[in-house]
Amino acid sequence: MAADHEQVEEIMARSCNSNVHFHDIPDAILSSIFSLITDTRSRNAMSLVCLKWHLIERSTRTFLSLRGNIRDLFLLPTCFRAVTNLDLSLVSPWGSPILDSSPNTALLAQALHWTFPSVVTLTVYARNPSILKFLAPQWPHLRQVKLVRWHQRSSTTLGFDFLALFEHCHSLASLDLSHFYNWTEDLPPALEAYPSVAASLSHLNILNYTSAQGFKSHELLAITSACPNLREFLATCIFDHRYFGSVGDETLLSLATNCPRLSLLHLVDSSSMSAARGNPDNDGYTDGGC
Amino acid sequence: MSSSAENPTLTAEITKPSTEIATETAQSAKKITLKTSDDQIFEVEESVAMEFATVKSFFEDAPSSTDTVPLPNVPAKPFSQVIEFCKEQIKFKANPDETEKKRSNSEFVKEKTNEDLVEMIPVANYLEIKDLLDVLNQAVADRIQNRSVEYVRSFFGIDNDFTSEEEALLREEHAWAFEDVDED
Repeated sequence: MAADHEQVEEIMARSCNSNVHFHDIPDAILSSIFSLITDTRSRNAMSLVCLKWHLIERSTRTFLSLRGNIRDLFLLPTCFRAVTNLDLSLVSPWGSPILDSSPNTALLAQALHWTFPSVVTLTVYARNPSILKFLAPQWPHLRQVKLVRWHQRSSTTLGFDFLALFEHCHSLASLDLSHFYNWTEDLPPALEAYPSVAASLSHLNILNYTSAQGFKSHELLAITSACPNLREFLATCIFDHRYFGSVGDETLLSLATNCPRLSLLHLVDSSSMSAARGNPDNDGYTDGGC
Repeated sequence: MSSSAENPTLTAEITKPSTEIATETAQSAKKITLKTSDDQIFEVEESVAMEFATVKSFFEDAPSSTDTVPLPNVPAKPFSQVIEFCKEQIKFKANPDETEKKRSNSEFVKEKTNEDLVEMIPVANYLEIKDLLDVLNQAVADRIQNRSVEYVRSFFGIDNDFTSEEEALLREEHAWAFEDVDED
């Protein structure tokens, strides 16, 4: 049965060879075909087909979730130079700070920049503030950033986790903190300290999957007045009016005034978030929103 | 697969262009004569021919021309399939129905062999039929997706030009990118 199948393939392959070869397709078109394929397995297979496919595959690979051990990071292959969307949150051992305080830290951060010079979208497990302190200067043109952290918050100063990012990446358009453990008090002062970055943000996701805390009304107002150009805003808050800082009609109206371009407002009560915590791959839209 | 069964109908269309089917509007009655690289003559309705940006610009330069338009980079076999596609497209221009269009497009490529697809791509590219090129690219991408290296090689008739050292090196690079631990 398997032999039959192989035979058929062989015949088909020969019939291809006889007339038009796959290599007759112009490189530009081959490139656009390749960029339609995002699945990592398929891409890995494609790059092994032949030399030409390898070159085109590498030049069109834009997504990479880095796997592998942290201690081998200096062995990173330099072939993925077209990657614009880099995920550093999954290197193993999971959750450990990818840059430690060894003397090589700065060098390693630079190596990451050389390896992936075109990154504009970054996902990183920011266990402590020093990771971003080293990484953010490497990619000053970052547009989308997702921070991940399930470990406890380490710094003592409010908002310290974000300072390096805001200081170096002025064209930040999208910030996703939905899987980043921090206090609700952290974000407002950081945004207020960097008004130009806050103004460039158009997408902010502060749904809180990592704790049961919801943003209080005055925190939401501080955030939105710092970010007047938000188009999409997702947040955890408190609707129960018996609690301090609950969100009522007045807050909602002020939110709309603060961000006149808002086209998506997704507020979820903190009590309904706890049920969703089990699924970290959730896209952020849960039941119980408003 | 079905390529041998398809060929007779294709040649039939070449010798006797059956362009009468879609003559609904008055202006589509005008025919344009096109000559392929293997000297086959096609008579195509103007509305269909105008789908080919390359032919269209030819007539924009010389509107009253009645000459045969030579298509030096276009062989007859893929061209007849391209015409088939464009005829379908025109129907959707009159009344746009995206889901129906998608269905018809996927129907169109589903029947085609790899050879057909690969032959049509340069033609669609030369004639600048963007819609068709998009459809073909997606179709080829779908056929590469989730296939093993060996399968892709034999399917598209590509020879392995890696040395075993090079291949081993590449597989090492991929250790950084594997989505799952189980490799195959």
